[in-house]
Amino acid sequence: MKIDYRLLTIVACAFVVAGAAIVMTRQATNSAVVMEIIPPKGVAMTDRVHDGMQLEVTAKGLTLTLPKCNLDKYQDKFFLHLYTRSGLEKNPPAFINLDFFLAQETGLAQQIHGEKSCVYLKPLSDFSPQQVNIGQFTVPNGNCCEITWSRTYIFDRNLLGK
Amino acid sequence: MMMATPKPASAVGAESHDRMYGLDVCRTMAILSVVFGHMLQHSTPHPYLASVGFMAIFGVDLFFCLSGFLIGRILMQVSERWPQEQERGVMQFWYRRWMRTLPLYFFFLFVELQIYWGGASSLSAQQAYLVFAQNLAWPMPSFYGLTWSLTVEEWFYFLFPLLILLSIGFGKTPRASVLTAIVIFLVIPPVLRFFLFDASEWDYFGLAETNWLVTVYFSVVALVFAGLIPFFSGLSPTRFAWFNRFVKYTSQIAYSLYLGHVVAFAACIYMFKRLGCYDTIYPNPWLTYPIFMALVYLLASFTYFAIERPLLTLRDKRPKVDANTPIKAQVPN
Repeated sequence: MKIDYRLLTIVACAFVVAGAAIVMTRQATNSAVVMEIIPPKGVAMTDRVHDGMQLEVTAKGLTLTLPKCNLDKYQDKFFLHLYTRSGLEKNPPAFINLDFFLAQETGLAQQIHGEKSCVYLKPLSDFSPQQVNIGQFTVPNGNCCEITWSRTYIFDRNLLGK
Repeated sequence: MMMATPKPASAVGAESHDRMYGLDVCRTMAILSVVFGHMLQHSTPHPYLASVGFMAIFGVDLFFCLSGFLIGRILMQVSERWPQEQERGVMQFWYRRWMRTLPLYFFFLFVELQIYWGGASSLSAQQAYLVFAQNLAWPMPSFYGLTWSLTVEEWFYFLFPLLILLSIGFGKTPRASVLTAIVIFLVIPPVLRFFLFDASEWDYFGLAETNWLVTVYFSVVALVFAGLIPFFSGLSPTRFAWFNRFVKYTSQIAYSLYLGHVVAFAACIYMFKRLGCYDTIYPNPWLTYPIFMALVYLLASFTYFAIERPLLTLRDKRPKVDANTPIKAQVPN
Protein backbone atom coordinates (compact mmCIF):
# COMPACT_ATOMS: atom_id res chain seq x y z
CA MET A 1 0.00 0.00 0.00
CA LYS A 2 1.82 3.05 -1.29
CA ILE A 3 0.98 6.36 0.34
CA ASP A 4 0.75 9.34 -2.02
CA TYR A 5 1.96 12.23 0.14
CA ARG A 6 1.39 14.80 -2.56
CA LEU A 7 -2.26 13.83 -2.85
CA LEU A 8 -2.71 13.78 0.92
CA THR A 9 -1.22 17.28 1.15
CA ILE A 10 -3.62 18.57 -1.49
CA VAL A 11 -6.61 17.05 0.30
CA ALA A 12 -5.44 18.44 3.65
CA CYS A 13 -5.09 21.91 2.11
CA ALA A 14 -8.61 21.67 0.69
CA PHE A 15 -9.98 20.80 4.13
CA VAL A 16 -8.10 23.70 5.73
CA VAL A 17 -9.30 26.20 3.13
CA ALA A 18 -12.90 24.99 3.51
CA GLY A 19 -12.71 25.20 7.30
CA ALA A 20 -11.23 28.68 7.17
CA ALA A 21 -13.96 29.83 4.78
CA ILE A 22 -16.65 28.61 7.18
CA VAL A 23 -15.06 30.23 10.21
CA MET A 24 -14.52 33.56 8.46
CA THR A 25 -18.00 33.81 7.00
CA ARG A 26 -19.66 32.63 10.19
CA GLN A 27 -17.91 35.35 12.15
CA ALA A 28 -19.25 37.93 9.73
CA THR A 29 -22.74 36.45 9.82
CA ASN A 30 -23.14 35.86 13.54
CA SER A 31 -24.21 39.42 14.24
CA ALA A 32 -26.77 39.17 11.47
CA VAL A 33 -28.29 36.04 12.98
CA VAL A 34 -29.08 37.90 16.16
CA MET A 35 -30.46 40.86 14.27
CA GLU A 36 -33.13 39.51 11.95
CA ILE A 37 -34.80 41.94 9.65
CA ILE A 38 -38.39 41.83 8.49
CA PRO A 39 -38.77 41.36 4.75
CA PRO A 40 -40.63 44.48 3.70
CA LYS A 41 -42.64 42.94 0.91
CA GLY A 42 -45.49 41.74 3.03
CA VAL A 43 -44.61 38.18 3.95
CA ALA A 44 -44.45 37.65 7.67
CA MET A 45 -41.21 36.28 8.99
CA THR A 46 -41.23 33.18 11.11
CA ASP A 47 -38.34 32.22 13.27
CA ARG A 48 -37.70 29.31 15.60
CA VAL A 49 -36.13 30.41 18.82
CA HIS A 50 -35.44 29.01 22.23
CA ASP A 51 -36.52 25.36 22.73
CA GLY A 52 -38.57 25.26 19.54
CA MET A 53 -40.80 28.24 20.23
CA GLN A 54 -41.82 29.87 16.97
CA LEU A 55 -42.02 33.62 16.51
CA GLU A 56 -43.85 35.33 13.73
CA VAL A 57 -43.36 39.05 13.53
CA THR A 58 -44.98 41.71 11.44
CA ALA A 59 -45.40 45.41 12.07
CA LYS A 60 -48.97 44.56 13.14
CA GLY A 61 -48.16 42.04 15.76
CA LEU A 62 -46.13 39.33 17.30
CA THR A 63 -47.24 35.71 17.45
CA LEU A 64 -45.56 33.22 19.74
CA THR A 65 -46.34 29.58 19.06
CA LEU A 66 -45.52 27.21 21.87
CA PRO A 67 -45.06 23.56 20.85
CA LYS A 68 -47.12 21.11 22.93
CA CYS A 69 -48.38 24.06 25.02
CA ASN A 70 -45.67 23.15 27.47
CA LEU A 71 -45.18 26.24 29.59
CA ASP A 72 -42.58 24.60 31.82
CA LYS A 73 -39.73 25.58 29.52
CA TYR A 74 -40.89 29.18 29.37
CA GLN A 75 -41.21 30.18 33.00
CA ASP A 76 -38.64 32.95 32.74
CA LYS A 77 -39.84 36.48 32.16
CA PHE A 78 -40.06 37.72 28.58
CA PHE A 79 -38.80 41.14 27.63
CA LEU A 80 -40.59 42.88 24.78
CA HIS A 81 -39.21 46.30 23.95
CA LEU A 82 -40.75 48.40 21.20
CA TYR A 83 -38.82 51.25 19.65
CA THR A 84 -40.80 53.89 17.81
CA ARG A 85 -39.20 56.30 15.37
CA SER A 86 -39.21 59.12 17.91
CA GLY A 87 -37.88 56.81 20.61
CA LEU A 88 -34.97 55.79 18.42
CA GLU A 89 -34.01 59.40 17.85
CA LYS A 90 -33.37 59.88 21.56
CA ASN A 91 -30.02 59.22 23.13
CA PRO A 92 -30.04 56.63 24.56
CA PRO A 93 -32.96 55.28 22.53
CA ALA A 94 -36.21 55.09 24.50
CA PHE A 95 -38.40 52.04 24.28
CA ILE A 96 -41.88 50.97 25.33
CA ASN A 97 -41.55 48.18 27.85
CA LEU A 98 -44.08 45.37 27.41
CA ASP A 99 -42.34 42.72 29.52
CA PHE A 100 -44.57 39.78 30.44
CA PHE A 101 -44.78 36.28 31.84
CA LEU A 102 -46.18 33.81 29.35
CA ALA A 103 -48.03 31.94 32.10
CA GLN A 104 -50.12 35.06 32.70
CA GLU A 105 -51.09 35.41 29.06
CA THR A 106 -54.10 33.83 27.38
CA GLY A 107 -53.11 31.38 24.71
CA LEU A 108 -55.15 29.88 21.91
CA ALA A 109 -54.78 26.09 21.61
CA GLN A 110 -54.54 24.70 18.10
CA GLN A 111 -53.79 21.37 16.47
CA ILE A 112 -51.76 21.15 13.27
CA HIS A 113 -50.52 17.90 11.75
CA GLY A 114 -51.71 16.18 14.89
CA GLU A 115 -49.43 18.34 17.03
CA LYS A 116 -50.94 20.50 19.73
CA SER A 117 -49.55 23.97 20.19
CA CYS A 118 -50.58 27.22 21.87
CA VAL A 119 -50.55 30.58 20.17
CA TYR A 120 -50.07 33.84 22.01
CA LEU A 121 -50.78 37.11 20.25
CA LYS A 122 -49.22 40.47 21.05
CA PRO A 123 -50.73 43.26 18.95
CA LEU A 124 -48.14 45.89 18.11
CA SER A 125 -49.90 48.07 15.55
CA ASP A 126 -51.01 50.63 18.13
CA PHE A 127 -47.37 51.51 18.69
CA SER A 128 -46.10 51.59 15.06
CA PRO A 129 -42.75 50.16 16.13
CA GLN A 130 -39.65 50.55 14.02
CA GLN A 131 -37.79 47.97 16.02
CA VAL A 132 -38.79 45.13 18.34
CA ASN A 133 -36.51 43.41 20.82
CA ILE A 134 -37.81 40.22 22.36
CA GLY A 135 -36.30 37.47 24.47
CA GLN A 136 -36.24 35.91 27.90
CA PHE A 137 -34.12 36.71 30.90
CA THR A 138 -33.43 35.56 34.42
CA VAL A 139 -32.20 37.45 37.46
CA PRO A 140 -29.60 35.13 39.00
CA ASN A 141 -28.95 35.95 42.66
CA GLY A 142 -30.74 39.25 42.22
CA ASN A 143 -28.27 40.44 39.58
CA CYS A 144 -30.16 41.66 36.58
CA CYS A 145 -30.08 40.28 33.98
CA GLU A 146 -28.98 37.14 32.23
CA ILE A 147 -30.53 36.89 28.79
CA THR A 148 -31.47 33.35 27.79
CA TRP A 149 -32.20 34.20 24.17
CA SER A 150 -33.11 37.30 22.23
CA ARG A 151 -34.07 38.53 18.81
CA THR A 152 -34.04 41.99 17.32
CA TYR A 153 -36.39 42.79 14.48
CA ILE A 154 -36.00 45.97 12.48
CA PHE A 155 -38.86 47.17 10.33
CA ASP A 156 -37.23 50.16 8.72
CA ARG A 157 -34.13 49.28 6.77
CA ASN A 158 -32.98 52.90 6.89
CA LEU A 159 -32.22 52.30 10.55
CA LEU A 160 -29.78 49.55 9.76
CA GLY A 161 -26.77 51.80 9.55
CA LYS A 162 -27.49 53.43 12.90
CA MET B 1 -38.30 27.35 5.51
CA MET B 2 -37.42 24.31 3.83
CA MET B 3 -35.30 23.30 0.67
CA ALA B 4 -32.41 19.06 -1.32
CA THR B 5 -32.09 20.33 -4.07
CA PRO B 6 -33.77 19.36 -7.20
CA LYS B 7 -31.04 18.50 -9.57
CA PRO B 8 -31.56 20.39 -12.75
CA ALA B 9 -31.76 18.16 -15.75
CA SER B 10 -28.78 18.24 -18.01
CA ALA B 11 -29.14 20.58 -20.93
CA VAL B 12 -27.87 17.85 -23.15
CA GLY B 13 -29.80 15.09 -21.48
CA ALA B 14 -32.89 17.23 -21.46
CA GLU B 15 -32.92 17.44 -25.20
CA SER B 16 -32.01 13.84 -25.75
CA HIS B 17 -33.99 10.66 -25.34
CA ASP B 18 -31.73 9.37 -22.59
CA ARG B 19 -33.81 10.64 -19.69
CA MET B 20 -35.17 8.07 -17.29
CA TYR B 21 -38.91 8.62 -17.15
CA GLY B 22 -39.29 7.11 -13.70
CA LEU B 23 -36.73 9.46 -12.23
CA ASP B 24 -38.52 12.37 -13.90
CA VAL B 25 -41.68 11.23 -12.10
CA CYS B 26 -39.74 11.08 -8.84
CA ARG B 27 -38.29 14.55 -9.35
CA THR B 28 -41.69 15.95 -10.31
CA MET B 29 -43.35 14.48 -7.24
CA ALA B 30 -40.59 15.86 -5.05
CA ILE B 31 -40.69 19.41 -6.41
CA LEU B 32 -44.48 19.58 -6.40
CA SER B 33 -44.52 18.37 -2.79
CA VAL B 34 -42.20 21.20 -1.85
CA VAL B 35 -44.03 23.87 -3.82
CA PHE B 36 -47.50 22.79 -2.66
CA GLY B 37 -46.29 22.38 0.90
CA HIS B 38 -45.04 25.95 0.94
CA MET B 39 -48.06 27.26 -0.95
CA LEU B 40 -50.41 25.84 1.67
CA GLN B 41 -48.83 28.18 4.18
CA HIS B 42 -50.56 30.98 2.27
CA SER B 43 -54.20 31.97 1.92
CA THR B 44 -56.82 29.95 3.85
CA PRO B 45 -56.70 26.35 2.65
CA HIS B 46 -59.23 23.82 3.89
CA PRO B 47 -57.95 22.33 7.17
CA TYR B 48 -57.62 18.88 5.58
CA LEU B 49 -55.57 20.34 2.77
CA ALA B 50 -53.49 22.40 5.18
CA SER B 51 -52.74 19.29 7.20
CA VAL B 52 -50.76 17.80 4.30
CA GLY B 53 -48.45 20.81 4.15
CA PHE B 54 -45.81 18.77 5.90
CA MET B 55 -45.31 16.96 2.57
CA ALA B 56 -42.83 19.68 1.69
CA ILE B 57 -40.21 18.15 3.94
CA PHE B 58 -40.72 14.72 2.35
CA GLY B 59 -40.20 16.29 -1.06
CA VAL B 60 -36.82 17.48 0.14
CA ASP B 61 -35.97 14.00 1.47
CA LEU B 62 -36.87 12.54 -1.90
CA PHE B 63 -34.57 15.03 -3.61
CA PHE B 64 -31.70 14.06 -1.32
CA CYS B 65 -32.14 10.38 -2.20
CA LEU B 66 -32.50 11.11 -5.90
CA SER B 67 -29.31 13.15 -5.81
CA GLY B 68 -27.53 10.42 -3.92
CA PHE B 69 -28.62 7.86 -6.51
CA LEU B 70 -27.61 9.95 -9.54
CA ILE B 71 -24.49 11.60 -8.21
CA GLY B 72 -23.42 8.40 -6.48
CA ARG B 73 -23.47 6.58 -9.80
CA ILE B 74 -21.48 9.35 -11.43
CA LEU B 75 -18.95 9.41 -8.60
CA MET B 76 -18.47 5.65 -8.76
CA GLN B 77 -17.79 5.92 -12.49
CA VAL B 78 -15.49 8.91 -12.54
CA SER B 79 -13.53 7.96 -9.41
CA GLU B 80 -12.24 4.88 -11.25
CA ARG B 81 -9.95 7.30 -13.10
CA TRP B 82 -8.86 9.35 -10.09
CA PRO B 83 -5.73 7.33 -9.24
CA GLN B 84 -4.38 8.63 -12.56
CA GLU B 85 -6.15 12.00 -12.77
CA GLN B 86 -5.81 12.75 -9.04
CA GLU B 87 -6.95 16.27 -8.11
CA ARG B 88 -7.71 17.10 -11.75
CA GLY B 89 -10.44 14.47 -11.75
CA VAL B 90 -12.02 15.85 -8.59
CA MET B 91 -11.86 19.39 -9.92
CA GLN B 92 -13.57 18.23 -13.09
CA PHE B 93 -16.33 16.73 -10.94
CA TRP B 94 -16.65 19.96 -8.93
CA TYR B 95 -16.66 22.05 -12.08
CA ARG B 96 -19.64 20.11 -13.46
CA ARG B 97 -21.51 20.24 -10.13
CA TRP B 98 -20.86 23.90 -9.57
CA MET B 99 -21.73 24.95 -13.11
CA ARG B 100 -25.03 23.21 -12.54
CA THR B 101 -25.94 24.50 -9.12
CA LEU B 102 -24.13 27.75 -8.38
CA PRO B 103 -25.19 30.20 -11.11
CA LEU B 104 -28.89 29.88 -10.38
CA TYR B 105 -28.26 29.85 -6.65
CA PHE B 106 -26.34 33.11 -6.80
CA PHE B 107 -28.93 34.61 -9.12
CA PHE B 108 -31.73 33.92 -6.64
CA LEU B 109 -29.54 34.97 -3.73
CA PHE B 110 -29.19 38.33 -5.43
CA VAL B 111 -32.92 38.44 -6.15
CA GLU B 112 -33.70 37.68 -2.51
CA LEU B 113 -31.39 40.43 -1.32
CA GLN B 114 -32.50 43.10 -3.75
CA ILE B 115 -36.13 42.34 -4.49
CA TYR B 116 -37.74 40.00 -1.99
CA TRP B 117 -36.01 41.51 1.03
CA GLY B 118 -35.83 44.88 -0.70
CA GLY B 119 -32.26 45.45 0.39
CA ALA B 120 -33.25 44.92 4.01
CA SER B 121 -30.36 42.50 4.32
CA SER B 122 -26.99 42.75 2.69
CA LEU B 123 -24.46 40.34 1.29
CA SER B 124 -21.93 41.47 3.86
CA ALA B 125 -24.37 40.47 6.60
CA GLN B 126 -25.06 37.16 4.90
CA GLN B 127 -21.55 36.09 3.90
CA ALA B 128 -22.17 32.55 5.09
CA TYR B 129 -24.44 32.09 2.10
CA LEU B 130 -21.44 32.51 -0.19
CA VAL B 131 -19.88 29.28 1.07
CA PHE B 132 -23.08 27.46 2.03
CA ALA B 133 -22.35 27.82 5.73
CA GLN B 134 -25.76 29.17 6.67
CA ASN B 135 -26.93 26.10 8.60
CA LEU B 136 -24.20 23.51 8.97
CA ALA B 137 -24.51 23.09 12.73
CA TRP B 138 -26.47 26.13 13.81
CA PRO B 139 -29.98 27.50 13.31
CA MET B 140 -30.90 28.52 9.81
CA PRO B 141 -31.44 32.28 9.55
CA SER B 142 -34.77 33.48 8.22
CA PHE B 143 -33.14 34.93 5.13
CA TYR B 144 -33.71 32.65 2.11
CA GLY B 145 -34.52 29.68 4.31
CA LEU B 146 -34.98 27.37 1.33
CA THR B 147 -31.25 27.11 0.93
CA TRP B 148 -30.78 24.91 3.98
CA SER B 149 -30.83 21.84 1.76
CA LEU B 150 -28.35 23.33 -0.70
CA THR B 151 -25.94 23.60 2.20
CA VAL B 152 -26.24 19.86 2.77
CA GLU B 153 -25.81 19.03 -0.90
CA GLU B 154 -22.98 21.38 -1.72
CA TRP B 155 -20.93 20.24 1.23
CA PHE B 156 -21.64 16.65 0.26
CA TYR B 157 -20.37 17.41 -3.27
CA PHE B 158 -17.28 18.98 -1.76
CA LEU B 159 -16.43 16.53 1.00
CA PHE B 160 -17.39 13.18 -0.47
CA PRO B 161 -14.94 13.32 -3.42
CA LEU B 162 -12.26 14.66 -1.07
CA LEU B 163 -12.70 11.64 1.19
CA ILE B 164 -12.44 9.34 -1.83
CA LEU B 165 -9.27 11.15 -2.89
CA LEU B 166 -7.90 10.95 0.64
CA SER B 167 -8.46 7.21 0.68
CA ILE B 168 -6.85 6.85 -2.75
CA GLY B 169 -3.92 8.82 -1.35
CA PHE B 170 -3.56 6.13 1.31
CA GLY B 171 -3.25 3.55 -1.44
CA LYS B 172 -6.78 2.15 -1.50
CA THR B 173 -8.52 1.23 -4.74
CA PRO B 174 -11.20 3.62 -6.03
CA ARG B 175 -13.98 1.17 -5.17
CA ALA B 176 -12.70 0.68 -1.64
CA SER B 177 -12.33 4.45 -1.34
CA VAL B 178 -15.93 5.02 -2.35
CA LEU B 179 -17.05 2.46 0.22
CA THR B 180 -14.91 4.13 2.88
CA ALA B 181 -16.46 7.52 2.09
CA ILE B 182 -19.97 6.01 2.21
CA VAL B 183 -19.31 4.46 5.62
CA ILE B 184 -17.90 7.72 6.96
CA PHE B 185 -20.94 9.63 5.69
CA LEU B 186 -23.31 7.06 7.17
CA VAL B 187 -21.68 7.15 10.60
CA ILE B 188 -20.33 10.64 11.26
CA PRO B 189 -23.41 12.86 10.60
CA PRO B 190 -25.80 10.84 12.84
CA VAL B 191 -23.16 10.74 15.57
CA LEU B 192 -22.68 14.51 15.36
CA ARG B 193 -26.44 15.03 15.32
CA PHE B 194 -26.85 12.88 18.38
CA PHE B 195 -24.01 14.12 20.55
CA LEU B 196 -23.19 17.65 19.55
CA PHE B 197 -26.10 19.58 18.16
CA ASP B 198 -29.46 20.79 19.32
CA ALA B 199 -31.83 19.29 16.77
CA SER B 200 -34.95 21.05 18.00
CA GLU B 201 -34.72 23.39 15.00
CA TRP B 202 -35.63 20.44 12.82
CA ASP B 203 -38.48 19.15 14.91
CA TYR B 204 -41.37 19.18 12.47
CA PHE B 205 -43.10 16.15 13.98
CA GLY B 206 -42.69 16.61 17.70
CA LEU B 207 -39.66 14.34 17.92
CA ALA B 208 -37.24 16.71 19.56
CA GLU B 209 -37.90 15.48 23.07
CA THR B 210 -34.81 13.40 22.53
CA ASN B 211 -32.02 13.88 20.04
CA TRP B 212 -32.12 10.15 19.58
CA LEU B 213 -35.53 10.24 17.89
CA VAL B 214 -34.53 13.04 15.55
CA THR B 215 -31.32 11.23 14.68
CA VAL B 216 -33.16 8.01 13.85
CA TYR B 217 -35.94 9.85 12.05
CA PHE B 218 -33.64 11.43 9.48
CA SER B 219 -31.80 8.18 8.82
CA VAL B 220 -34.95 6.06 8.55
CA VAL B 221 -36.75 8.49 6.26
CA ALA B 222 -33.68 8.61 4.01
CA LEU B 223 -33.58 4.82 3.83
CA VAL B 224 -37.30 4.59 3.03
CA PHE B 225 -37.03 7.09 0.20
CA ALA B 226 -33.84 5.50 -1.07
CA GLY B 227 -35.79 2.23 -1.24
CA LEU B 228 -38.32 3.91 -3.53
CA ILE B 229 -35.73 4.94 -6.13
CA PRO B 230 -35.46 1.49 -7.77
CA PHE B 231 -39.28 1.47 -8.02
CA PHE B 232 -39.31 4.86 -9.69
CA SER B 233 -36.45 4.05 -12.05
CA GLY B 234 -38.47 1.09 -13.38
CA LEU B 235 -41.49 3.21 -14.33
CA SER B 236 -42.44 3.56 -18.00
CA PRO B 237 -44.21 6.50 -19.65
CA THR B 238 -47.99 6.48 -19.42
CA ARG B 239 -50.26 6.44 -22.47
CA PHE B 240 -51.17 10.06 -21.77
CA ALA B 241 -48.69 12.08 -23.80
CA TRP B 242 -49.69 15.36 -22.17
CA PHE B 243 -48.97 13.92 -18.74
CA ASN B 244 -45.57 12.61 -19.83
CA ARG B 245 -44.72 16.02 -21.27
CA PHE B 246 -45.78 17.72 -18.03
CA VAL B 247 -43.64 15.33 -15.98
CA LYS B 248 -40.62 15.81 -18.22
CA TYR B 249 -40.91 19.59 -18.29
CA THR B 250 -41.48 19.92 -14.55
CA SER B 251 -38.50 17.65 -13.95
CA GLN B 252 -36.36 19.71 -16.31
CA ILE B 253 -37.09 22.97 -14.55
CA ALA B 254 -37.23 21.47 -11.04
CA TYR B 255 -34.15 23.30 -9.79
CA SER B 256 -35.51 26.63 -10.99
CA LEU B 257 -38.88 25.81 -9.47
CA TYR B 258 -37.25 25.02 -6.19
CA LEU B 259 -35.12 28.12 -5.88
CA GLY B 260 -37.70 30.51 -7.29
CA HIS B 261 -41.09 29.48 -5.99
CA VAL B 262 -41.00 31.53 -2.81
CA VAL B 263 -39.91 34.56 -4.81
CA ALA B 264 -42.91 33.99 -7.10
CA PHE B 265 -45.24 33.75 -4.08
CA ALA B 266 -43.89 37.01 -2.72
CA ALA B 267 -44.19 38.65 -6.14
CA CYS B 268 -47.86 37.61 -6.29
CA ILE B 269 -48.57 39.05 -2.86
CA TYR B 270 -46.77 42.26 -3.77
CA MET B 271 -48.77 42.45 -7.01
CA PHE B 272 -52.07 41.90 -5.19
CA LYS B 273 -51.23 44.75 -2.84
CA ARG B 274 -50.14 47.09 -5.61
CA LEU B 275 -53.34 46.36 -7.55
CA GLY B 276 -55.46 46.85 -4.44
CA CYS B 277 -57.01 43.39 -4.66
CA TYR B 278 -55.11 41.69 -1.86
CA ASP B 279 -58.09 41.49 0.49
CA THR B 280 -60.27 40.06 -2.28
CA ILE B 281 -57.92 37.49 -3.78
CA TYR B 282 -55.45 36.37 -1.13
CA PRO B 283 -57.94 34.88 1.38
CA ASN B 284 -59.52 32.81 -1.42
CA PRO B 285 -57.33 29.76 -2.17
CA TRP B 286 -59.29 29.00 -5.34
CA LEU B 287 -58.04 32.27 -6.77
CA THR B 288 -54.68 32.54 -5.05
CA TYR B 289 -53.25 29.09 -5.75
CA PRO B 290 -53.75 29.05 -9.54
CA ILE B 291 -52.16 32.50 -9.76
CA PHE B 292 -49.30 31.38 -7.53
CA MET B 293 -48.68 28.25 -9.62
CA ALA B 294 -48.84 30.13 -12.91
CA LEU B 295 -46.26 32.62 -11.74
CA VAL B 296 -44.09 29.89 -10.23
CA TYR B 297 -43.92 28.06 -13.56
CA LEU B 298 -43.46 31.30 -15.48
CA LEU B 299 -40.53 32.41 -13.35
CA ALA B 300 -38.94 28.96 -13.34
CA SER B 301 -39.26 28.67 -17.11
CA PHE B 302 -37.61 32.05 -17.52
CA THR B 303 -34.68 31.26 -15.25
CA TYR B 304 -34.27 27.81 -16.78
CA PHE B 305 -34.07 29.07 -20.35
CA ALA B 306 -32.21 32.29 -19.56
CA ILE B 307 -29.66 31.05 -17.03
CA GLU B 308 -29.65 27.36 -16.34
CA ARG B 309 -29.75 25.83 -19.80
CA PRO B 310 -27.20 28.13 -21.47
CA LEU B 311 -24.70 27.51 -18.69
CA LEU B 312 -25.26 23.77 -18.79
CA THR B 313 -24.68 23.84 -22.53
CA LEU B 314 -21.50 25.81 -21.96
CA ARG B 315 -20.40 23.34 -19.32
CA ASP B 316 -21.01 20.35 -21.55
CA LYS B 317 -18.91 21.91 -24.33
CA ARG B 318 -15.84 21.84 -22.12
CA PRO B 319 -13.71 18.81 -22.90
CA LYS B 320 -13.44 16.28 -20.12
CA VAL B 321 -10.13 15.40 -18.53
CA ASP B 322 -10.05 12.14 -20.40
CA ALA B 323 -12.44 12.37 -23.29
CA ASN B 324 -11.57 8.91 -24.53
CA THR B 325 -12.98 7.17 -21.50
CA PRO B 326 -16.56 6.21 -22.20
CA ILE B 327 -19.24 6.92 -19.65
CA LYS B 328 -21.38 3.80 -19.57
CA ALA B 329 -24.73 5.22 -18.58
CA GLN B 330 -26.13 8.50 -19.71
CA VAL B 331 -27.47 9.85 -16.47
CA PRO B 332 -29.09 13.24 -16.29
CA ASN B 333 -26.77 14.51 -13.58
